Amino acid sequence: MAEQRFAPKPKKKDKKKEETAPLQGASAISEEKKRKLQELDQFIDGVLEQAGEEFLHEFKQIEGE
Amino acid sequence: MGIPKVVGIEQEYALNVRGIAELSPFQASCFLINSFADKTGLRAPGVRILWDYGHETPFRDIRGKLFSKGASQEMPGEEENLRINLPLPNGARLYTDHAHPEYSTPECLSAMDVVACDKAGEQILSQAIGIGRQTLPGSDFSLFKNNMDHQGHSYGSHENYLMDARAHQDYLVKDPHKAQCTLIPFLITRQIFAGAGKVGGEHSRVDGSPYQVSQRADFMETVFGLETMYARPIVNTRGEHHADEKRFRRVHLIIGDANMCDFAAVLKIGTTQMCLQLMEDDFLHEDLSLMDPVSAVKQISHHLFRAIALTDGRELSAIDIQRKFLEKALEYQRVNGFSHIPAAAWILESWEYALQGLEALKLTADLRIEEDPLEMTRRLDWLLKLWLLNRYRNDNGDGWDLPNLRVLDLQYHNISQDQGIFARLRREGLVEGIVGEQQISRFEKEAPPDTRAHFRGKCIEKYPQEVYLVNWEVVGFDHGEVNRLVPLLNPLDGNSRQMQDLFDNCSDSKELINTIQASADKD
Repeated sequence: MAEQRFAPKPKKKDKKKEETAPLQGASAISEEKKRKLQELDQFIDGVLEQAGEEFLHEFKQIEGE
Repeated sequence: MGIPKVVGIEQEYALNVRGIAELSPFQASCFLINSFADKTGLRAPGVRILWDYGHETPFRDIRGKLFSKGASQEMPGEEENLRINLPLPNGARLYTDHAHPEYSTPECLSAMDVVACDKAGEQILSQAIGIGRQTLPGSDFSLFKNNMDHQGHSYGSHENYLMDARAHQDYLVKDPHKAQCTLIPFLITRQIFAGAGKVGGEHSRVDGSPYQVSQRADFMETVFGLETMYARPIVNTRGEHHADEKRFRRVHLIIGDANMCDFAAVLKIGTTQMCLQLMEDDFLHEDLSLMDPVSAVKQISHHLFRAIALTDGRELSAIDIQRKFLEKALEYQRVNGFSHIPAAAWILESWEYALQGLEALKLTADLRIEEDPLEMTRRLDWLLKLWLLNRYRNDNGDGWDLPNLRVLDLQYHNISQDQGIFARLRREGLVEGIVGEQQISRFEKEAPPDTRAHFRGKCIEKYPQEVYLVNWEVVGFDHGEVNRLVPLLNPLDGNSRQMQDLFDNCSDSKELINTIQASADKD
């Protein structure tokens, strides 16, 4: 059987702002996390730039079974 | 007490090609697969392993009729067969389906393993892209593990589950109302944790949401049916079981989305295994049949928290309905134990966790994530994608009609380690990892040890020049003056426990088959 990491026991945590939601323990955004999120935003900009305006048009697929 | 829930996933990949105008999508898909085969030695001189279509019956319906276009299908010739198909030493099948690369995982016993095998498929196709780019300088291939193109087309992420023949006949053939009360509401509502998320909808709906939970929901048109490319059914009734039909049947599901998040993927498969086991052991007695199942699929996808109408007049939310299945599964675990379902305790705990997390989740009317105390955003694709899209909306206007939101929706599923958004989120630690990287790497090379996939994979690995055909239920050997076939009608046979010594000690397939034959004669 595959290696497993078990999900944490359900427990309620402090409400978080949406911008930091997937970052663990991010009730206060650390400089490190801010930097990571900035890098992510830059990465996303790069993805969009590389895709270009034509991407949505050229993505047309043929259906499969 | 039920039977082991052997499971496999068939994933079709969207393909985008730049830099070479002369390749059709079909040619590009074949090119990627064959470049990979050549480079990795799977097409060494003398190796010509065909895919045997002999057991495929796409027009046979479990309800006993032959539907649709005709009663037979065209078989590709030998060279075309080799061009389309690549059976792998890990027990999987990589091939071109219409114009898509498709990766069918080997048969697995556990949800964890099948998700690891599915991810191994991503890695293999990622390597194929790299090889393709090197082989054709200037080309740029991209593959996307998703289910729609934002231009009205859909392609599948199909699931196959082994089911006891008697229970299958009872629920899906003799008395489909039993499935309407049990399996159908389960499948319709599991999207709340299994959906991959999608910007917009396929049809203009008065009450449509600008972002919905599932990619496949809008494409579902009927409850039971044989088709896969139109009139898509919640349960596909193709009568093709790839096993001894007297004992085993295949439940073929085409409703599911392609998951990138391990947690969502393992939970989708594991809970479905449990639901089928509850049916086999006649443990589900409450009538949860829905007034309009096909509309309910779409309604939940667009409006997760709204109640849907049951035939008995009740109105329940998708979370309420999932809770009912979870309660029965917990009771079953206490009374009988899910002995056939590996990691059952983890699946049950995670099921509870996911439902609690969704109950505590608060979205604004504008689909901002207001509260997510159990961090479901780290675990469910549709929420992680929503979080990502909202970050983009923060800086680019609140609207949902920005074309770049659809680009991000698609690029989330790009399997490239460099360009794919999900891969980046995972690297940054923004996603809960469940399946280990080592396990994924292992399944790139090896089949799971506990099903017939082990036999198929080992034969391809050890005796590639002697194997002349394979499919899910047979391996055929070319022994010169005679061809010999080894049937694999029980998906649990041919596992490593039974076969490891034989593979270690037999230098060729002739010796292997003679030893198996001698052992069978003795018994």
